Amino acid sequence: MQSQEVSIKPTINIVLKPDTETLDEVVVIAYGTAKKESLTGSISVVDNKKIEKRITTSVTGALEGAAPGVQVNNTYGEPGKAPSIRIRGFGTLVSGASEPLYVVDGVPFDGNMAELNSNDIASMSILKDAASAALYGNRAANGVVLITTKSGHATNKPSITLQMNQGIYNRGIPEYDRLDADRWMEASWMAKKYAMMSNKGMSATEAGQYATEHLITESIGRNIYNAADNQLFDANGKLTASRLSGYDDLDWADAIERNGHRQDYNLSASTSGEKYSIYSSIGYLKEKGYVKATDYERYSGRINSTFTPNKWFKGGVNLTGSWTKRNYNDNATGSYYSNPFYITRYMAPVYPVYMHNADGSYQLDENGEKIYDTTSPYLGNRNIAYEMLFNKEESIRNVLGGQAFATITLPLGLSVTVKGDLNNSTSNNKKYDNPKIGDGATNGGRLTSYAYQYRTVTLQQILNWNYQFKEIHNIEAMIAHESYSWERKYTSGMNTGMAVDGNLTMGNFLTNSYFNGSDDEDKTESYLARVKYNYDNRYFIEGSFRRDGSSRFHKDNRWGNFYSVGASWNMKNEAFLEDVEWVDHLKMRASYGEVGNNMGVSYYGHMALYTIDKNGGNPALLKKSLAAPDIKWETTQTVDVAVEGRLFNKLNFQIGYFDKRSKDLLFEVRLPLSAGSYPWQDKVMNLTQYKNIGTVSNRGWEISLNADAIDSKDWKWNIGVDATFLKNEIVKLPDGKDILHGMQNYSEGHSIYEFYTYHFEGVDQLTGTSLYTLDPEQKVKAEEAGALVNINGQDYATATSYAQRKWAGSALPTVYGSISSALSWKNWNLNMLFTYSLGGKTYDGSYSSLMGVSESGAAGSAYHKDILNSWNGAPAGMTETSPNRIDPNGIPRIDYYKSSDLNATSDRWLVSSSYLVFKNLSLSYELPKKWMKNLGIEGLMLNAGVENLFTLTARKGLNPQYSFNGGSDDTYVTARVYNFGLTVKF
Amino acid sequence: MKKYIQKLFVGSLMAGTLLVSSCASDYLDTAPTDSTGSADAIGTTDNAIKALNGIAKLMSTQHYYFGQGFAGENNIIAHYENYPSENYLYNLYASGWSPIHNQEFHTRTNSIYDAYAWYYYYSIVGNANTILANIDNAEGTESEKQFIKASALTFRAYAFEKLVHYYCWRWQDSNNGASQGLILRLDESTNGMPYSTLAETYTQIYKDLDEAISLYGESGMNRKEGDVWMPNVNVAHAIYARAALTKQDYAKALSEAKLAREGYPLMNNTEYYAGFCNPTGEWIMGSFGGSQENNWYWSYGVQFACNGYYASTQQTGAGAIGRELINRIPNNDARKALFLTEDKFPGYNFNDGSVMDLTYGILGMGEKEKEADALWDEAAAYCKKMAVSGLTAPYEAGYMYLGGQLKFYVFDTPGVGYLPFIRSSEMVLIEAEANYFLNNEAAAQAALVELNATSGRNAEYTCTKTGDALWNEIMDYRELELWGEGFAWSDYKRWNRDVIRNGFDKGGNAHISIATTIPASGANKWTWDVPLNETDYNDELKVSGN
Repeated sequence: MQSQEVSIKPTINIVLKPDTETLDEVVVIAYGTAKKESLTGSISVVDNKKIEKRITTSVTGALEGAAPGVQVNNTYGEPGKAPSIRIRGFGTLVSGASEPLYVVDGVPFDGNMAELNSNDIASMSILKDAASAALYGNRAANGVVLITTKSGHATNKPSITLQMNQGIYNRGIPEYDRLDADRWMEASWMAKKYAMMSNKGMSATEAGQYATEHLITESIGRNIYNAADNQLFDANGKLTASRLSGYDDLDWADAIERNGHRQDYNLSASTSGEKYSIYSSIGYLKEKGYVKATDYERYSGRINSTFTPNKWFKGGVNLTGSWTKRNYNDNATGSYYSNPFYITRYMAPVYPVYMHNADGSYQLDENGEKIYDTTSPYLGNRNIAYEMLFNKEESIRNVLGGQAFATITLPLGLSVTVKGDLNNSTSNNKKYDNPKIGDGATNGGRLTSYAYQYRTVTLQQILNWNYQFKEIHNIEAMIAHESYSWERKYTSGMNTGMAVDGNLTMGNFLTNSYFNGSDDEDKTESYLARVKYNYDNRYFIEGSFRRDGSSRFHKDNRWGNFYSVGASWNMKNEAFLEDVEWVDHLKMRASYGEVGNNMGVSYYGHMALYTIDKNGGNPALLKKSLAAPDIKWETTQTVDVAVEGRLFNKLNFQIGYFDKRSKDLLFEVRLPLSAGSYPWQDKVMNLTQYKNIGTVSNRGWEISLNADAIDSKDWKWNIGVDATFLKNEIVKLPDGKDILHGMQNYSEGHSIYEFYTYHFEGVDQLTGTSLYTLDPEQKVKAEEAGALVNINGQDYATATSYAQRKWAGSALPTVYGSISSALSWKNWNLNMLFTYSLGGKTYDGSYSSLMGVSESGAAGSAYHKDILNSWNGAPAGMTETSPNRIDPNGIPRIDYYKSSDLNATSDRWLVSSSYLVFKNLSLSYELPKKWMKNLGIEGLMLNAGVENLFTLTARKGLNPQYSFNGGSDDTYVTARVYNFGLTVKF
Repeated sequence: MKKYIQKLFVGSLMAGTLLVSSCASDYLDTAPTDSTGSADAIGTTDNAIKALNGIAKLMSTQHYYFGQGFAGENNIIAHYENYPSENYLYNLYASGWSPIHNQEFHTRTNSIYDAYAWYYYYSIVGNANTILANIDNAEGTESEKQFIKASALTFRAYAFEKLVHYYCWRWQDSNNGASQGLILRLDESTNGMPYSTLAETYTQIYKDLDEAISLYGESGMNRKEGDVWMPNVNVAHAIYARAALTKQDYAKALSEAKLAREGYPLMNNTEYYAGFCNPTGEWIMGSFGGSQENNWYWSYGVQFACNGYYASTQQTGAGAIGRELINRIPNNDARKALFLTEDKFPGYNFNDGSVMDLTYGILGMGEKEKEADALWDEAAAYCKKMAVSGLTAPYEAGYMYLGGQLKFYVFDTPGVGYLPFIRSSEMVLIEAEANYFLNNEAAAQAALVELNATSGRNAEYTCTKTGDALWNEIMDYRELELWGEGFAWSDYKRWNRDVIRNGFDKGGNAHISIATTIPASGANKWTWDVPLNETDYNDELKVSGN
């Protein structure tokens, strides 16, 4: 065996058959590389062939559908945003602590993934089990993604590759089905009628009459029809007037969406010789999102080099830099007036974007242009389409990273490597609110300017020892020390009162509103060691140990010890299999390991703190957190067993079982409100205190199969499927007590994302009222509040305040995975990738909002089409004692006054999260080499592809990949990208 | 031997690597810069003063979890006192807020509207408790410690006293205090804890205030001039008077109210017309407001000041007074001049929809366009006349409501201003109420005369009323004087009085969705149930409710 080095060898770029994994492959592992046959843990590799097919700005997007056990969400809707990844489930109770660790060229990466150019990536290794990841002990509990950048090819002449991509970018998930203006008017009439009946006790006729008279003035505030305000409906609420022509600007999405554009250019050059290798690249990327005023621009560059001047010394330097600019909208979430997705989704279809004349025609300004409506009361003095044109939110980041290593080879198989990595980045941000309309309107415009400086330093000292004796005993040992420090400096200020139009600098805004800033740091220190032994390349065992200290814990509980052991058996190398022809490879492996996690705790999680602020110009200190000196590392223990191989020279398979058990989970335990709370905490009402509580297990099967269905000279077809069956379960909580958190509940025996909410029993067919399972202890209160109904001997609550919460299913899927196909004929390649997820539920908050009605502020909001099926009078023959008085699938009456109870948060809004996404379709053609030769071109390839061609879900409009915990939001959805590309190699 | 040396070499090299490369022992010690350790925060009296100021900050800062409009006391005033009261109307949004106006959420323990007051006042209690638990060991002079301790006790009593309004039964319903009181958390504990009785709760409030008052005396210190957001001995007396009044302990209420307003004489009419956004001589306590500490769209004035963001840009107005109440007040009362009442615009019919719509009561939105426009012009002219010099003009959006107020202003956009919590006028009214129930009618009359005539608010005011007439007069003037300042609902609860709102069809000015009667006996005895976020995490409480 040759001595292992920490940096990446040129030999990684072995060209593989499509989706076929061979055992000779060298894979990147923790602190080194290894032959695939020697692995004892579960590592999936995504090579650059796979990455190239995908149209992704963040390379981690290419992980979706690439390996079992990996779940990807939030895929690529907003320009410059990286998706979020989960590996083998959810082992922590704290949000933000489930992300895997990313390691780029051997060093933890804390930057923005979108700033790494996908074209510079040679491969990604996903370390899924504790044994593979244990050497990244402190942050490896959620798995590790090792990203390796390209190095100079092992070619003897310099080569240059030019790549160009052009694409179109639009929304990949359609909008919910919503009512058009006419149907919406009729629904509103009904809501008014039932409101007058339920609130004022009017008869149906009186109420209908009242609705006709007052609907426009009291509930809508705008009449776009050709009749007087009180003469739009007949006695049954049928719209009798017709819409004025000229109102063709009622769909607000048209005003803010567009066809985006994506362009991507890369030029890379590499060369290598016996004693050196160099890879260099520059790239330019520009994405214009499918929503106006959002874009992302990136310049990136990289130089990776290694030099071997003599037998005992080897060194190298990697330099990387990027400049990115992002225009975005940080209010594009939740119910902000400046969230374009919220406004366009819920804007009632009777409110136009522009000003109109009484006859419905557009009002035009002196230049003949349409005028944005910034005055109508129902718009609340806002107009998102107008604001998006004039507001600005911009983030510019500069990243400069450098890495250097030196390896000295000593006698006796020893080598010493010292490696240092320094990453500096700055982020300068600007948020401008215009002085005419919106948040900046009252103060003559306002400008917020804030900046971050980050600095990450990693130092590693590694000693390796390789030894072979008697030809069959192979030993590798490694011992190392690592320190990691992360620093952030933050300043932020806001000025108001813009002096001169169009000048967006702080000096042009005259009144200071605030100016503040703070510094933070986070550090770890680690000692690590590993020993590997194999006997005759048949039996492999390895063990590793790591000791980590974290600044997030109190001095006395700062250090944690983690270790792993693993073994594998290459059965094909045994005598009894050597002659079995149909078995090409066969290997069994098993491992056990423990790794840690400190991400569930804030930087100073163990300290009792007071926030520094001011009041009345004087210092003010506010109690923020309680001391938690006892908290310590979360530990994840993983058992991993698998069989893998290749049969009949056709079928590759891998079947594995894992049991991942996370214990001493760090959790912010909620305290009773009477213990006091902290005002500047937006996630939880209660004060919380960090504790190590409970155990969560994630266990399941991973199956991956792919077959070379056709393998002839011209035709090749490989089809693959993978599936991960995952069961997540809370095993232990303190004293076995449940911990409620919002609509979900942590409880032993249930998954961590299991809904626990009010149960919707159905609709009372006599009254159209929603019924919920009554909490027997609240019966008296419910009766007093008039929220109790008895139907056929059974009590029901009509408001959830008196209802009982029940288990309502988990947000987590039963099985998820991908299906792929790679077909080639001569120089043509056609690839398809589907991803799927089955089981699990989403709380469809958007649907719930579209099913609710309101006339508050004399303005309405959009409705879902399903509202047409809402209760409208008792069905014929329905009596008090009818056995079918409750319709469990009914939709309650539509009623302005009672809407919040009729449509309260309950399991009624849970919908299946199952999905099938046509993730990627790509067709490429490589021009025959002989055509190129005379031109001096090595190769020329054309390709066309679509990312996210379609998404199938239980309800149109639902984004099943918004979150892992079953939540939903009105925000960006996955983008569909059409791409045309050209690659030329010289 | 060679092998042995090799092994030794390898082993010692490995050990050496680790030894050489280890970090310094303090490498992992980090500390934040935007916060300070709690040991430091109460470690000295200098810092403890800052922690006291932090409690004041709690009363006016954004409480992120709850969203816009929840910035301490402003939300209590708006949602717990104004909306559910009889005479505060915010018609444009009444339909949406009707469950709050109509007191329908009292038993909805999973709602933020039920949780907020409990959450907010216990945050004050929690911060006060930490100061009280550590101040004795702090560095500093004895008198500073006494003053800080007194101030923390005052804050705690303030919070407990307010909590009783919302989460406990009326004293008269309590069987002499035997009913459920508060969770009397007096230390830094965070564990489950049972309810005390209402009597025990009042005992604790009295005890805190007795101790505070004596410590203020011993310390010989007062708050800095103008720091109305910090407590002092007058604040302690004022809270004492409030607590005693609510407990129907009228003699105590009377004596404490008198002590509370010593040194804080009633303001004159010029001060009264200055917009209630800067402290005047009679502000005993209030919150700070300043452009450099802008709360943006969260502050009270954003929605409820006549020149605030909403009144300036939208059709909401900024709150209107009940029509019947204000019509009972004589036209020459200086306070009545701060409301857009019918008497100011003679010759218009406010009942037939000709000059004002009968849904919201917006002046000038009538069927007879010409007359309506004329009324609008008159109303706008009146607003202009009453505008406070130096401040943005009221109702720039042009939406003026019948009964619309010109009392509350802001001095910077969108809602910057101080907010009054305790004024001497309230103390005078407590004296009137206490005297009335002590059967001392002459003194009650005298208190009304002091408030109304002596102050100059209505120089011609006299009071000879007795019995129920006197009682009605006390109630009317309390409602008028303190309108919009966060008293009205608690007053009706204490008075055991139905809220009766009439719509435009019956001569009132309430939106149809809130034109209703809420009986004093209903709405869960006008008591909010203890929120789920207490009961779910406090294992000493079995079932919520009384």
